[in-house]
Amino acid sequence: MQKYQSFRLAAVWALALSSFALIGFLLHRMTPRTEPWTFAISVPEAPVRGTLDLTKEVITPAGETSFVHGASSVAMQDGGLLTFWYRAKYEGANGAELISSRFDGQHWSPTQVVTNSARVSGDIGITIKSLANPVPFRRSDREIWLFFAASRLSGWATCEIGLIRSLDNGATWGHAERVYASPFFNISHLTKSTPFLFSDGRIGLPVYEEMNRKFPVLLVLDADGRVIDRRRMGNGGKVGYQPMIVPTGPSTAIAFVRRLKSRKPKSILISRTSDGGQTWTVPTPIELPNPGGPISAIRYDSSRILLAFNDDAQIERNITLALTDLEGKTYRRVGVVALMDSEDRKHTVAYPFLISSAPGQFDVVYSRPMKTINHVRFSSAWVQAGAQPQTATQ
Amino acid sequence: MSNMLDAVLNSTNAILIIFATFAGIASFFTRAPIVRLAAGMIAVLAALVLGISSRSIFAWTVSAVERPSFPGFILLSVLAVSAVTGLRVTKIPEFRFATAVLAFSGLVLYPAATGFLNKDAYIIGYSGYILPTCTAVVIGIALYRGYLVSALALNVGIASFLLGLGVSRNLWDYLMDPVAWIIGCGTWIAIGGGLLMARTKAEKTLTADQPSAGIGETPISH
Repeated sequence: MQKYQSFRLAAVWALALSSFALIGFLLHRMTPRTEPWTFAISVPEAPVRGTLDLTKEVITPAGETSFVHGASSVAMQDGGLLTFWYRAKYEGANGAELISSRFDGQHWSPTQVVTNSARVSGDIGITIKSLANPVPFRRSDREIWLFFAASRLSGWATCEIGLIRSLDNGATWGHAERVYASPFFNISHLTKSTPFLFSDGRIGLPVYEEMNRKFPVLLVLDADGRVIDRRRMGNGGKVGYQPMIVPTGPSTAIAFVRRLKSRKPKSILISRTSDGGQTWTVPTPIELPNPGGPISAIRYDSSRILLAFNDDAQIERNITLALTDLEGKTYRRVGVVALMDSEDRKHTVAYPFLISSAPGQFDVVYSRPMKTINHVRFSSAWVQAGAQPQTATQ
Repeated sequence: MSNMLDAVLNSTNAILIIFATFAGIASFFTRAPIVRLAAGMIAVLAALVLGISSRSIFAWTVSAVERPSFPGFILLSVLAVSAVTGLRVTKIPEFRFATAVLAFSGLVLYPAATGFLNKDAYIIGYSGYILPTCTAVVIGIALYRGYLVSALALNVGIASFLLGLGVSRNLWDYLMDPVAWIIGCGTWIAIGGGLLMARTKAEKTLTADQPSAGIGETPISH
């Protein structure tokens, strides 16, 4: 008995000492971060150049019968594109694939499977049902990261975010990794919009919570792709999703947020930050309509943002481009790059994803009734010429 | 090797949940630990074999609950042992302490982190002194009360976080998990329910023991 008491006392002391040491290390490790909350701002060159014509192609092969959706692109050094989308038997079906195709300025390459549900399941040790919303991020001249949503059970609310990397500009891809963003089984965060850089090299990944509550979130990733902070954009609750963040200054940015289908007014929502993304205003509606579809936006020049959106309050009837100031207060529509088939209301044009692939050259990829992925290329000359007189003011 | 290790760790929660549930169910029918043990093991094997849609019940469970935190793993292990041996864990002060801490912490964390509240409690697990200080206080209380398993579990959790053994860079994920929170809440609901029932029973006994006005007598208040 005495031996047991001695042993127990020794164990208490050993644990007390180890606890003391561990708490010391923990406090040191958890020292509040001193990295500046400032964005890496690269104001694009904005030469007015190019033709006044749109060039349009269907990217997906003829005879594609699967559900294809969630297209996104990353610019290549030669002015080309690497475009991604997901393909499955139907939305959210088992055995989805992430697909890529390369554009050399003239032709689209045959499609390539980046990864699929089974391979991701093997990589992360959890069975994944479906994949969606691939979002590329150029990490260096040769390295591309591809974030995506991976559904674990059924429905998008059970998604977690995955990351897969290519070190050879998308020719080959490594193992999928988990992006750990939520304490609740790491579920219900999804990707849609382009990541961006902070001035110290951290990465901002706009995502959204989908399960029951629906609100936009900014994940902050370290250089290795691990989540080291997250900030809710506005309040929790049922707000909106798929935030598209555009840094407008060292510590200012605006986020265009997709409205919930059930919410009115049927307008695009905007949230703003003035402290480098640490806090965001509650998303509020602007006067541009939104049928409940995502918005894609980029910095156009030193004083304007270019956005692609569905210019209709009811359905994804068209994909329209508009210019706005850096405050997001005045909007000028510049043209329509895609139109739905007027005779078939199911024939919508959805999920625009806009990038600048070279100075004065822009690309939008989108899905058309979920059976084709499409591409439109236009120039800054087209943008300038297409500006229309009507202006909506917030 | 890393993928294999991930798969094993991710399966831990599922194995323990299925095992403890079915060993616990068996305890309603038999007191024999070997039969309960067999019931738990058969359930795990059945979950591996039986499928829903294109994957096994076991794979569904793994996809739902993924890997536990170390304190969560210890808690589930204790429940699994209790289900087999019949040990009444709610009578153990350390179990009550651990589950109370988990239930309370989960109430602070999960509703806020999932958007039911406007403040996000999860972000204090990335940096700052609040969560480490609270953890130190809990460890201090555990050591003072002699709850060595709890203190050890938290030590291992902190060490795992400092060594970066998991994918997460958030301290919360190394200290607790939703399964542990649910068990914590369940335990205290059961304890509360038990106390309420005992009180009701005592009141009934007390009422029955009071002298009756007698059959046929006129009640005083009439």
